[in-house]
Order: sequence, then structure tokens, then C-alpha cells
Amino acid sequence: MAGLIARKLIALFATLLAVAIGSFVLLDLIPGDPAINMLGTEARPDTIAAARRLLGLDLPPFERLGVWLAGIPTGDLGVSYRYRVPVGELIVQALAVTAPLGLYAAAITTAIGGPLALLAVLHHRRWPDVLISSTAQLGLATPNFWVAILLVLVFSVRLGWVEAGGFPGWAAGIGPCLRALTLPAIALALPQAAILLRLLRAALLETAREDYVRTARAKGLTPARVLLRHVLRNAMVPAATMLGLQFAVLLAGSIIVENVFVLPGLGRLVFQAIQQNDLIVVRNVVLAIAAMVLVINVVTDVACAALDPRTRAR
Amino acid sequence: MSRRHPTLLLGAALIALAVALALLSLLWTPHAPMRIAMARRWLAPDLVHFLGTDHFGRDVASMIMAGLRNSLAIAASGVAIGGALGTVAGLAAATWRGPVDEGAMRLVDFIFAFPAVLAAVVVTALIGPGPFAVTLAIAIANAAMFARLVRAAAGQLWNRPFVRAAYALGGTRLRVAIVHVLPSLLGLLCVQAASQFAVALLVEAGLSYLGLGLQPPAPSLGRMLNDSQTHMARAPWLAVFPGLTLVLVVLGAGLLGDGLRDRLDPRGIAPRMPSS
Amino acid sequence: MSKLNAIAFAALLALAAAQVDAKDTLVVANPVEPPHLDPTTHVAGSIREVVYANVFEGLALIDRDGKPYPALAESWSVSADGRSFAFKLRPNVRFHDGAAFDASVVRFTLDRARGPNSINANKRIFEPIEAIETPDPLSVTIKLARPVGSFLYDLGSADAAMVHPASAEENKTKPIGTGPFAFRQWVKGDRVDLVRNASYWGEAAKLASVTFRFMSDPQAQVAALKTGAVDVVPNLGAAELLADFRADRNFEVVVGLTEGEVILAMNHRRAPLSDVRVRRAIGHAIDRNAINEGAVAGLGKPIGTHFPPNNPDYLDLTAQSAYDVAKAKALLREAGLANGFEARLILPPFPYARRAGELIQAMLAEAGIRVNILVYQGPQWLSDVFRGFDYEFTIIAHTEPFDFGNYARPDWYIGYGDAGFRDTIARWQASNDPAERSTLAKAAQRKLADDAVVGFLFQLPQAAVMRRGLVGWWPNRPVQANDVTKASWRD
Repeated sequence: MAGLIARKLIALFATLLAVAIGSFVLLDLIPGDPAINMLGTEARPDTIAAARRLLGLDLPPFERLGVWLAGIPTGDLGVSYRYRVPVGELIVQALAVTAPLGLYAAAITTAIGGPLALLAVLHHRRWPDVLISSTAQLGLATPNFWVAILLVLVFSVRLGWVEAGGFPGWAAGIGPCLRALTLPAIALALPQAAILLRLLRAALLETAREDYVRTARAKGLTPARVLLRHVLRNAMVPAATMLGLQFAVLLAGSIIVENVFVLPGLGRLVFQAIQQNDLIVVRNVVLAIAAMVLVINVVTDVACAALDPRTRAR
Repeated sequence: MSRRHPTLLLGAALIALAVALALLSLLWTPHAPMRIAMARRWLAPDLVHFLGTDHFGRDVASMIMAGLRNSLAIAASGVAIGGALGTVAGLAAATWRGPVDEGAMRLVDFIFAFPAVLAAVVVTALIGPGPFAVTLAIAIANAAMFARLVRAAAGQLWNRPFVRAAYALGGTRLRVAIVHVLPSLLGLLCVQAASQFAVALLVEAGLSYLGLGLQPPAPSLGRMLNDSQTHMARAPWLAVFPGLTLVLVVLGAGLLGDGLRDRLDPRGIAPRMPSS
Repeated sequence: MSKLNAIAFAALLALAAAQVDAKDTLVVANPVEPPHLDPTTHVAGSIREVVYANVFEGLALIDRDGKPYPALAESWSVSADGRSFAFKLRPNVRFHDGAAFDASVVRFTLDRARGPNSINANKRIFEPIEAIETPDPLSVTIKLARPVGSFLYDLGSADAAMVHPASAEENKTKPIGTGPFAFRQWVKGDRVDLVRNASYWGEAAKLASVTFRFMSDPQAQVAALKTGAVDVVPNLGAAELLADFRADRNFEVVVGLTEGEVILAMNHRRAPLSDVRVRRAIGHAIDRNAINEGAVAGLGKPIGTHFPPNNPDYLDLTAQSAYDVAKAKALLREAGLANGFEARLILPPFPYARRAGELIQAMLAEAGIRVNILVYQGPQWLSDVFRGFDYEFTIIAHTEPFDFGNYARPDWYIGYGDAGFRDTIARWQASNDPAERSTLAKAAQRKLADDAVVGFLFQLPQAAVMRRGLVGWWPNRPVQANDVTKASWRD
């Protein structure tokens, strides 16, 4: 077990290092110059040189890479070329929007996907199951930005219940912020709910076929109780695995949804940073996201291995 | 009564319809999809323009047909190229093991560390937006996906008696891989290709929405949806029809994948979910 | 009157008074959030749209008609040779943090802007400064190496805003200026709050506070106006949505012009665009009225040369490049291009450019010129098109006032190398005589139109939508700013 963890951690660090170096090299190739960007059309050799000195771009690439990597353990990720504030600050501010959005979306996903999956399984092969499964198929096929556009069309333009976008900041209170996050969370959650629904339903059905469930039924328990007491618990593991892996999907979806709703979150931060040549922000966000994904993978792998009695017996 | 046939048939029918419309658009569309007509802007659907016109007076139905053709082509190319590369890589990894296996899987891990959309945005920033960049991004993601999948499946197949027998009888690894292992993978590959095609369509639409896909005036469903946002109050149909088209085609691909899985891969080696 | 009645009456009176003075706040919806708030270290217009004149002031400021007026300088006098400017500074002026404004601050600001470490986006305007003399704390004399006709105007730009040595470095996040509004807070991603400066040196602002909210989506702007979350949108992102507000009695729509000339730029360094016949052909191939209609809903003003139509010296030369496809084709044939040619049309990420680009592509195709559209982000446009000259066509609005002189610059991205034009501009820049400047400006306009230097499209409009009752909002935009120092609500 300890050996497994050690091996996973080494692989994790190796991959992260590769991601860091890879993103640094790739991003430097993007056309445009952050120094000239600050100066605009009247940029001249002397102001460009001064700007490059200010941004630290006058150092050779190898040194810049070294400075960056050396600063990461202490939390010094560098200073944004565009905003002139520490990148760490920007990422934290952005996470203050994206993380709650993700949790909100996950809550909606579970609230919709969970009960519907249970319902479908309870009525397996009858019309509720068919209807729910078809709806899930439809949900999978729907682009989240289209859902976002339609939600804005109905709830903002036509009904005027919520603003079309924007985020007032947590200082304005929880209410206004939750209102601002509701439509985006729904847009993110609907396709995810469809995925969760199908996965949970499949896992539940598979577990339901197991012998110990048939025993429970034979003992006289109602289908519902069998479901809740035995089946659900065992199906939680694959479902939890999937929820963890969907984190990366959430971050990907948030780029588009945050753009539609103009939310100052991580997705919008990195998208605008790419467009504005704020490469230092981009590579830090890329590294952060890769780290989160890889860590979640490792944790899930280790947890599964730990929980699986077959591995524990070894 | 099993549900296999309805899923497969419905999926196949939707995809066939989409492909038919796309091919038809090469020969004929109700109007020229890129013809600008400032006098006929924002017309609601009527007999002349079945789905209305946009902010430049262009016929929405024609643009959808042409856009569908472009989306199908990009998604199909991306999946085909990526799938082929990934299959080769995965098969090689399972066949020769050792450093080939390690190297390939580390590369796959590296690619999987990036969320697809973010990687695609970076790719388009590097080589400029357009269909080539989008296809490349889709191909890279698919190569990784197929590589991992094929390695697992081929790995299992290499342990089967009939393959070990073939190898023992004196075939080279390469020959056994191609003649015996690969054919057994076909079912799995078809299923995965169909599912990934659905995902690729969504990714292409998303990137086009962000402005990173096909550039004007080439019609693109994603870009149409972006343009529609400014005119939502005045011409809501601009947001509805392209999206609906996209949903139906992606649904078709998804149903096709599911139907194929039920018929070709009932034991479920292919993952049950499209993971984007 | 009984005591109870008296109290009730007083309360009623107070209530009525409160109602009358109720509205003294203003919420403005800007389309782009600025990268930070210091205009002297970044080119972005979004910065100026928050802080110019409101928070920061210079020795001069620009008024709504585009003319410089005395601000932190009480008065000035120019020597006969145009090379020496003597300023009398206002007494008792303090920065928002209490620091005093005097001649040493002026010296600091100017030296910082023209020094070796300066990243001032407009450092060029400080170039001619040879010496800065500060005989006493309220007098500054600036000596120039050569006469510059626009020097006073330049000192009124945001790049020349006065900053204090103690607070200059922090201005990016905590701007400390001398203006009628002081910075209160910046909620990243949402808004910037300003409050009235109680110890302002001049007439106090009528508004108690101003909030700049950042909304890029036109639908969001419209929704915010309707719900009252925002009082004024300086430039509604989608002009088609104006009709709604024009019909609504609660709102006022004010359409004006900016200083931005929208042009179809052509790279003279690339054949066949070096041939004037080809350029004239292109001028005739495009219909600027249709482009005006499609790109900015017809609110712009078509132009035939590079000069703002509101300026008294403007010449209407649009007939010289009227829409005439047959003529375009004839000219192309004459230039030996009967089959047209292929080229790239590179578009920056502005809505007017994207829309105009699609229309122009279709129009040029009619004349046989096949263009491929490439959409570049800002940084790439700056690096590849503007500095690298790697383009054939591009569409951009030039928003600096009096920027027609740029065509004379040898390193300008257009590559127009006419010596006569260069001479005209040099004389115009050196002249201090308004009549002479007027004549030279007109000559320059004619030359630009005659040589079809670029495709002149239209002057970029500004369509402001505001809640009825707002007084003092500038109808035109001579500089990139939202000067709300004199704005108020009519009772």
C-alpha cells in the first residue's frame, strides 16, 4: 500500500513538472508581446525596453522558468503582466467565484440526477425508466452554452427575474451572489446531471443483479428498501469516482459558461489571459488545474485500492 | 422486450439525416448561405426563409445546412485521425510493453491533465483560430483517449488463449497484433468512435462559439449561436434553430454509440460514459 | 399650531426635501474592466473611462468640444517662438490623501513620464521637453527643443495627469489624484466606486458618488437599464436595441460621434496595394453607407478622408470614392488586374470591425478581390499587423485627435511615403497660427482622399442611453473618458 502511494506520488510530480515546462514553452510561442500590449500603438524602443525590464521579460527563458518554478513552493507565482498584481491573488479571487459555482452545480446535479436514477431503477423497463433515460440522452446531447443562452433568453430577457450576467462580489451578501450564480449553475449542471443519472442507473442496475441483492429480495424486503439499504451503498463508489473525475469537466465547462454570463471566475480569467497575452497567469492556472486533476486521480486510485478488499487482502 | 433496436435505429436515422443534409448542402441550399441582403434582416420564419434570416439577411436554414456540413467534417476528421493514432499507440504499448508502454502512457497522462477546452484554446492561440486548429485539438484528445482504451483492451486480449497460441505458433508480435488482436478490437473501436464523435461535435461547437473555429463567412453552428446573443430580444429564432440542430445531431451520435455498444460490446469494455 | 402638528409638519417638510434631493448618485456601465487604474503606465482606454478628469487632473484638461482648458494650471502663457510655456499653478490644491500639489509635483510627474524607466504609453508628447524650471512652488516654465503646436492639448491628456511622488506607485490599485471624485473601492470583476471629494479646489461635484460597473454584454446593459441597476450606458453595445429606448419616456438616447475614424487600412508595402489605381478601385468597390448601416446601425457618419466630421475644418470628400462597382472593375483592369487578386483581411476583436469585415468581404468579392478573414486578438494585431506590417487589409478605428498626421510617419503601418504630404504635416505640427493650421489641415485631407491612402469608412458613433433627467452628459466623445465632474440630476 505504501509502495503504491509512493509510486503514484512520484508519477504525479513527474507529470506536474512536465506540465509546467511544457506549458511554459508552448505559451511563449503565442504571438504577441505583453510589453507592447501595455504601451499600445505608440510603443517605442525605450518604453518597450523599460516595460520588458518591469515585467521581467528581459531575462533569458531558462532563467524565467527557473524563477517561476523556484517561487511555486513559497506561493510566489509571479506578477500578472496585465493587472500588475500577484498571480496568486488573482487565482484566489477567481476561485472565490468558480468554486462556489462548482459546488452549486454539483448540488443541482446530485439533486436532479440522484433521485431520477433511483426512480428509473425502481421502475426498470417500464415507462418512467424509458422516459428518464431518453431525457438523459437529450441532456447529454445539449451544449451547455446553448442551455445558458436559452436560460438568459427566458429568465432574463423575457421574464426579467435575474440579471443577464455579472457577479456583485461576496461583500454584497450571499443572496445577490447566489442569484447571480443560479442560471450559470443550472447551465453547467444539466449535462452533468444526465451523465450522473446514466452512470448511477447503470451502476445500480449492475449491483442489483448481484446475488446478495436477490437474497435480500427473497427475504421479503421491498424493492425500495433493498435499493436503499444494499444497492445504493455499493454503487456509491463508482459514482463518487465519477464525480471526482467530472471536476475537470466542470473546469472546462466553466470557461464557456463564465464567458456567457460574464462571471469573474477561473475559466474567464484564463480565457482572457490567453487573449491578452498574460502568459504568466495562463501557465499558473494551467498548472493549478493540472495539479488538481492529477491529485484527484491519485486520491481516487488510492481510495479505490484501499477500499477494495481484494487489494487489502494482499 | 429488449431496447437495443430502437436506440441503434433512431441514432442511425438521425445521423443519416444529418449526413444527407450535409451532402445535399454541397449541391443545393434554399438560398446561398453567405449571401448578405441588408434589406431582409431579422425576418421571422416564413415560406421564403423557412427558418428566418439573421442580422445580415442571410438565410438561417441554408447556413444551418452548410454549418452542419462543416461541423460534421471537422468532428469526423478529428476523431478519425486521433482514433487512428491512438489505436496504433495503444496497440503498440500493449504489444511491446516495456519502454514503449511507459512512454506512451506518460504522454497520455500528460494530455489528460489538461481539460480539453482549455487545451484547445491554447492550441488555437498558438496556430491561429480555424478549422485546422479545432481538428488538431480534437485529434489530440481522441488520440489520448483511444490510446488508453486500446491499451487496456489489447492488454486483455493478449492474455487470451487464441492470441497466445498464435504467438507460440511462431508469429512475430507485429503480425499477431495486426492479424489477431486488432480485428477483435473493431467492435470496441466502433462504439468508442461513435461516442467520441458526439463529444467532438460539442467541442467544435463550443470552440466556434468562443470564436476559435471557422472564421467568417464560412457558416458555423457555434458562431451562429454567439452572433444570436446580441439579437435575442428581436430575433429569438436565431438562438433556437442552430442549437436544436446541434442537439439532434449529437443525440443521434450518442444513441448510435449506445446502440452499437449494446450489440457489439455488451460486456462493457468501453467506458459507459463519454468523458469530455 | 399645536406641538404635535408642528412636529408632523416639520417631518413632512423634511421628507419632501429629501425626496427632492434624492438622486445624487450615478451608475455608469462601462464595457471593459480596466487592467488597473493608472493611466500614466498603460494605454488602455478603459482606464481613462473611469479616472480621467474624475480622479486625475493635469495642468490642463480637455472639454466636451475637444479643447484644452486650464485645470491644475490657473493660467499659462506661450512665448512668441512657441518653445517656452509658463504656467501659474493653482494654490491650495491637495491630493486625495492630503499631500500638497505644487511645482515639485509637476517636475516629478513630467520627469517620471520622460525618464528612462518610463512606460508611459504616450511618452512621445514629453520628448520635446528640454528643461523644466520651477522658480517658485506655484510657477513652472517648460522649455521645448522645438515648437509643438499641440503641446497644451497634449498636457491635457490622461498620460500627463499629475501624480504625487508618495502615491504614484500605488495608483494602479489605489488611485490618488486631485479631482472632484476620490477613489473608494474596486470590486474586481464588478465595479469601481468613487465618492465626492469634499476638499476639492474647485466647484464641488454635484453628484455624491459615481459607480462604474463593467458590463460587456449588450443584453446585460439593456437589462440593467430597464431594472434601474444602471443609470447610463455611454455606448450601447448593439445599436439595434436603441429603438426600444427611443420609444420609452423614461429614457433618453443621445447619439454623438467619437474621435474614431474607422478605416479599411491597406498596406502600401504589399503589391498590388502600392498602386494608387488599385486603392481607388477598392474605394469605389465598397459602399460605406451599407457598412455604416450594418456595422453600427447607421449611427456613424460616413467620411471621405481622415478627419472628424464635427470639426469645422472638415471637408466632405465622400463623393470622390462613391460606391461604383463598374468603376472599380475598370480601374482594376487598367492596373492589369482584370481577374482581381487574393489578400488577407485581418480583424481586431471589436464588434464594429467584425461586422464591417464581413460586409467588406462580400463587397470586394463583387469586384473580383477575394479576401480571407483572419480574426486576431489585440496583442497579435499590435505585434503582427501594426508593428510587423504583416497584413494586406485590416479594419481599425483611430481614436486619437488630429491623428491624420500619422500617415506621414515613415514607420506607420500603412506605409504611405509621399514627401509632399510629409512636408504639409511637418508645417502643420510646427505652426501656432490657427488660420495656417486650418489651411494645411484641409490640404492634407485632400491629399489623403486623392491618393486613396486607405478606405475611409465612417466616424465611429457613440450611442448613449440614459435615464431621463441626467444633465451634463457629454453628447460627443472627443477623448476617451466619462467626465462626470459636472453631471447632475434635474429635479
